[in-house]
Amino acid sequence: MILDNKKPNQEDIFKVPEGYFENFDERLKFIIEPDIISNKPSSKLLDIFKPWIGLAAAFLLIAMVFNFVTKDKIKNQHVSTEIEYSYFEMWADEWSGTYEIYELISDNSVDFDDFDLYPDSLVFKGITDENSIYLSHLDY
Amino acid sequence: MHPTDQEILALINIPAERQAGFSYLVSKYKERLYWHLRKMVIIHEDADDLLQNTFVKVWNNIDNFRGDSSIYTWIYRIATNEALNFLNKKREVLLDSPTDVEDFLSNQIENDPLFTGEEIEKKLQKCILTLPDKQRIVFNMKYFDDMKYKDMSEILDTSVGALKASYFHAVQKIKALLENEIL
Repeated sequence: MILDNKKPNQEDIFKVPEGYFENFDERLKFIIEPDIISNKPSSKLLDIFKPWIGLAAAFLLIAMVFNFVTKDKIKNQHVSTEIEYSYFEMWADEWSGTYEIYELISDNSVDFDDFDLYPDSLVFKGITDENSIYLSHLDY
Repeated sequence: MHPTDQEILALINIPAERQAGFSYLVSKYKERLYWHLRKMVIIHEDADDLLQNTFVKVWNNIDNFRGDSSIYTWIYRIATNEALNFLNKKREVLLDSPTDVEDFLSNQIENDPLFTGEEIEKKLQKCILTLPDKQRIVFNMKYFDDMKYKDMSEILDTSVGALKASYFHAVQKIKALLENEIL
């Protein structure tokens, strides 16, 4: 009975191609080699931080674009405010009485839509409370 | 001369020596693992693929090796699982075929030019193929590799008693098959 007799040598039963075991290490190295390269500490570190660097660069770009776009808009708004302010400064020096204000508001050539008049506007400089009430009832 | 497992592990834990340590590991265990796989899958090319897969997994997971068992039993376990998964996949592929895995492997023994055993050895191999996969592993490890039950228990995660019983029944079945010459 074969099981009780001398055990068959597996190497006699199953053959391997010549040089198989000698070449195995080299063939295995070609499979694992890419992993060995990627496991280098410096490249591994870079791989960890690469996505964060990309994100930071994207945010920086967006911030620069935003800054560039909004800078001009703010500048233009500031200029237009300066123009309106200087306009009223010019007129405020000359107007100091109710008659001058009446003239202004009854002048149909003046388009009040072109500028806004606020209570603290320089146009009303020197107008007393009594006169401002009088002006508010004028039918113009 | 091969360094000890402890020396190999020590080398692998040094980043600059990792590759060298792994080379020692491959050199030390490749033949033993190959024959373990070859007896399971019969065909040389399949055994070669499984052996490569085993060492790739060892390389990728060596940092996860906790040292609860010896590195030898750990690698052997990986190889065993590779073989079992391979046979299961083969079984799925042959599901709709009239041939099952055992018939397929048995035919390979008949037709494989790399199988050079005598007729009685051929019959023994065919008898072994009739065993369930895990029992076949137990039989191969005990009968051909003379492995200790304690080591087999660690590799297969099965109690020594269960392994002894499994081996006993495997021997009885193969003896009966050979005596009756069913194959």
